[in-house]
Amino acid sequence: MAHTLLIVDDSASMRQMVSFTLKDAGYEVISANNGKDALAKINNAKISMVITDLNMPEMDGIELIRQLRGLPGFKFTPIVMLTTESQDSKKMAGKQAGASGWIVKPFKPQQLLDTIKKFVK
Amino acid sequence: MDMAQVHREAFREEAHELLTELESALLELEENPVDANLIGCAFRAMHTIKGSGAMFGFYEVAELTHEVETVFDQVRNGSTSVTKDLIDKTLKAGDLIRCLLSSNGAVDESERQQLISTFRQMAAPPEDKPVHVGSDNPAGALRESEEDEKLYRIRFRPSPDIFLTGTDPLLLLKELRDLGKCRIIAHLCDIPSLDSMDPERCYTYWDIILSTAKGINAIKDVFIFVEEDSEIHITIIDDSGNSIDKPIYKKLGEILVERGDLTTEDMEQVLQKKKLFGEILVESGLADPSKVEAALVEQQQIREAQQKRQMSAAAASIRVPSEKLDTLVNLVGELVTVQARLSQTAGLRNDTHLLQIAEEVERLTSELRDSTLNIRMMPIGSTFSKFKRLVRDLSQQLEKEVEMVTEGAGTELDKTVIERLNDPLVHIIRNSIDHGIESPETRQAAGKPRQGTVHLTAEHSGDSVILTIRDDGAGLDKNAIRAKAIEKKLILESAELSDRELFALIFAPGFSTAKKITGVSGRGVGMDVVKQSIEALRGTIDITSQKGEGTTITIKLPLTLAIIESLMVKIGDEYFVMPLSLVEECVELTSNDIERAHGRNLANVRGSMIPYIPLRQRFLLGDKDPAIQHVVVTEVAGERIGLLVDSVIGEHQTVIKSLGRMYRDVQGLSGATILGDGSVALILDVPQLVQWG
Amino acid sequence: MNCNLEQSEEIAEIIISGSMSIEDAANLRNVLASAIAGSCRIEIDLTAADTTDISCLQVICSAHRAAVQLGKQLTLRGTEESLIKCLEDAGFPRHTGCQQQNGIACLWQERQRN
Repeated sequence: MAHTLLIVDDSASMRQMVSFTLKDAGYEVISANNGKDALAKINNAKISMVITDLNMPEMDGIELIRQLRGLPGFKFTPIVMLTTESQDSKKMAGKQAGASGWIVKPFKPQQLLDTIKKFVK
Repeated sequence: MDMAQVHREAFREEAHELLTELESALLELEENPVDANLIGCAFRAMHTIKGSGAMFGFYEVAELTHEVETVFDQVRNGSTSVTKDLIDKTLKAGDLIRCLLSSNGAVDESERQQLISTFRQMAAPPEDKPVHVGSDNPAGALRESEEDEKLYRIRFRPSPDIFLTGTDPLLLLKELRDLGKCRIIAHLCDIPSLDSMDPERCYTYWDIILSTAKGINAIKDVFIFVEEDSEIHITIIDDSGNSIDKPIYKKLGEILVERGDLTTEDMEQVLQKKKLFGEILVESGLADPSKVEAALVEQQQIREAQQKRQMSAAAASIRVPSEKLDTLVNLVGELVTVQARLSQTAGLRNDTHLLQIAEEVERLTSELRDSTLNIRMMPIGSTFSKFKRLVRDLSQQLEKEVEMVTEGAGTELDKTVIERLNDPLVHIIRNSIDHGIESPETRQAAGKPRQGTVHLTAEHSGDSVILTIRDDGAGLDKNAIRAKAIEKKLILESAELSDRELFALIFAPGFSTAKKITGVSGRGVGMDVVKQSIEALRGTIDITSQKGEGTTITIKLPLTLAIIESLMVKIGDEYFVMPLSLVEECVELTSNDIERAHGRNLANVRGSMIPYIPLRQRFLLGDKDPAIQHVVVTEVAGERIGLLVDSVIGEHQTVIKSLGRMYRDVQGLSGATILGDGSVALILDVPQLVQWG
Repeated sequence: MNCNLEQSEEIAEIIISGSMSIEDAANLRNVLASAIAGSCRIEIDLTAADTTDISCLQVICSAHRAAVQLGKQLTLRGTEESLIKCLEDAGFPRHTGCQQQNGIACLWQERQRN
């Protein structure tokens, strides 16, 4: 059974690029515009991994991570954040909220897939 | 359209929408400069354009938006406030980004730079962290640099909470396995009793012995997300760079002490009892069995690694001092000579029995000669790897980006040839990197990849080996060479030279076109020495170049120095031989022909006039010219020059003997050989003859 | 993971299927604890188990020690290729016995492919 990955980013082009890369690698993808949208779209789906941007309207990535970790199905789910390198402090805040790792923008599709392999079999 | 294009297009559309949003937010901000929503909206627009812009290759956009974003981040957290100036400048930045995004975006770069510095000034205190548009992701995958195979010991004790961060240590261990041969021992001694354990905590830790050529950074990358909370020790325990002559592996106790699993005192105490060390440790409870096992595994793996290296070295070869080989080659050389005499004598006697034996000896001798010479052959690859290092160091020193690509490392050449090739090749490669390959900036401006390439190829071609050193640098500057040659009085100002002749000037003594002397090359003692060394190996060197595209140097070398295929000629009663590889053709020259040339040494070969050197005069051999002489046409450094001799005897297997000390400096002769009848023939040094006329 | 416990005073049989992951560790611990408390022999049938993670291995390891301490027997049955692979990846198989048990046979001893 294919793993389902949740991608959260307010940039449509990023969502498109990440979804394409993941689907191409055989994953199922749910994509959301921001934290709130993501929480609404989960709907009991079994999510194998979450990839989230940090700066988003409505609900940012840090808050999303915090809320996801509180949900019963997300206690052990890998959550990787997308950051830009000027956001070192964000990286720390994200880890404290429960993020598993990070990917620095810009990245190549292969780097994204390599990072996912650290968390999903 | 490929996917990258599709993504770029999607980003363009998105950015235009974001810019529109930004604009309206800015205009509203003008009315209402403290509205947190509007400020957040402007910040996010910039942030998204920056992040996604860099993703899809819009680096100029990313760089500019980074500065704007920084200012709006400060507005957002209250350390700066919205001013009319900020709104103006941001609107301007928006317009500029639009231009940058439009496909035919003609943008005033100075305006962009100015805006960048304006926003930098606005950001207070100035943040001097420029945006990196490159990538520095942990999950590199792009880090593929291969090092030597090394053996690592890794102790990995994850944080007990590791499961709660969504990380499965098993996947990390798997990643390690992907790096190379890997032995993993889990330590289970810290797992508490069933009722007191928290099943969601990690109590297991690991010793991993990994043999990999990927380097320590690849190992660190595996742990990148957990390194802060975990205990990770990585130690190199064996390096293939270690000498294979003396295998070293640590004793079990030493490994345990090194890992901190056993104290030195305990070790010494145990060592006094005479039993298997590991058994005693486990029995006495001084060390956990899994730890002893892990140490044993390490010991075994090191032993295996070292044995493997030893075995492969031992199986592939036996070591013989090269003097022994030299003696063997000399003996075979003498045998070849004696065999020639035998064949000659047998032919004269017309004794079928003897002829049969002579033929048999001839066959065996030639096989023996071939396999003996073969023993001296070595793949040229060992020198290639040295050059890779040279390229790496030089390019760093000169701040250039150069990659070396080698081909034909398995091509075999005589050991002596390989050794004596080293210096000339170093010089050529240095020249390529120093004068040929341009700086990354220059290359980029010329539409070339930042990284220059030096190709080093070796291939067989008949009885010679052809080495090619090709760079994709700036190429030779014909005008500069010409000017220099005129200045050095190597050619006349009026001289008309083909490209080939012009490039050949580089090999003239004391020639250097480098504008300044660097520490690397360009002292002007270069290429002439290179040429001499190659010719001393009886090779030839040739250079071609295209301005802007690069330079190619081709070296042609004989397979071996000891025995050559040659052409034997006769002048008076004297025999001479010359390397057959240099000979193009032989033509007759009658006394009539000589008369027609009016005393000039020119032979008419099918309509083209070829200068020749009358060897009888050159060597002061007296006698009179016979009525019909022969011109042996040779090609040296791209020029056809004839050598005038009495007669051409034919091809000859020449065993080279060096001349005695007294004769070593004689011009035009490179050695001697012993003929079948025991007499001596001198070997002509054709390039030198041509050079000195 | 699915985990079925069939228990009599003499023997408890635990049949596990699917992949054993961290989400299942707590449940597995409870099932094993009651199996050990209630029976003399505990058999874990892993024929239908696909994969396991570290957390479940830790629980089984600890359960084995608990059983041995009470003089009971805990054995694994039907470790298939995929599960052996997990054990190997995790570095669990070993040659030596368990130190906590004074060198008594470790559950993971000699559990590697040859």
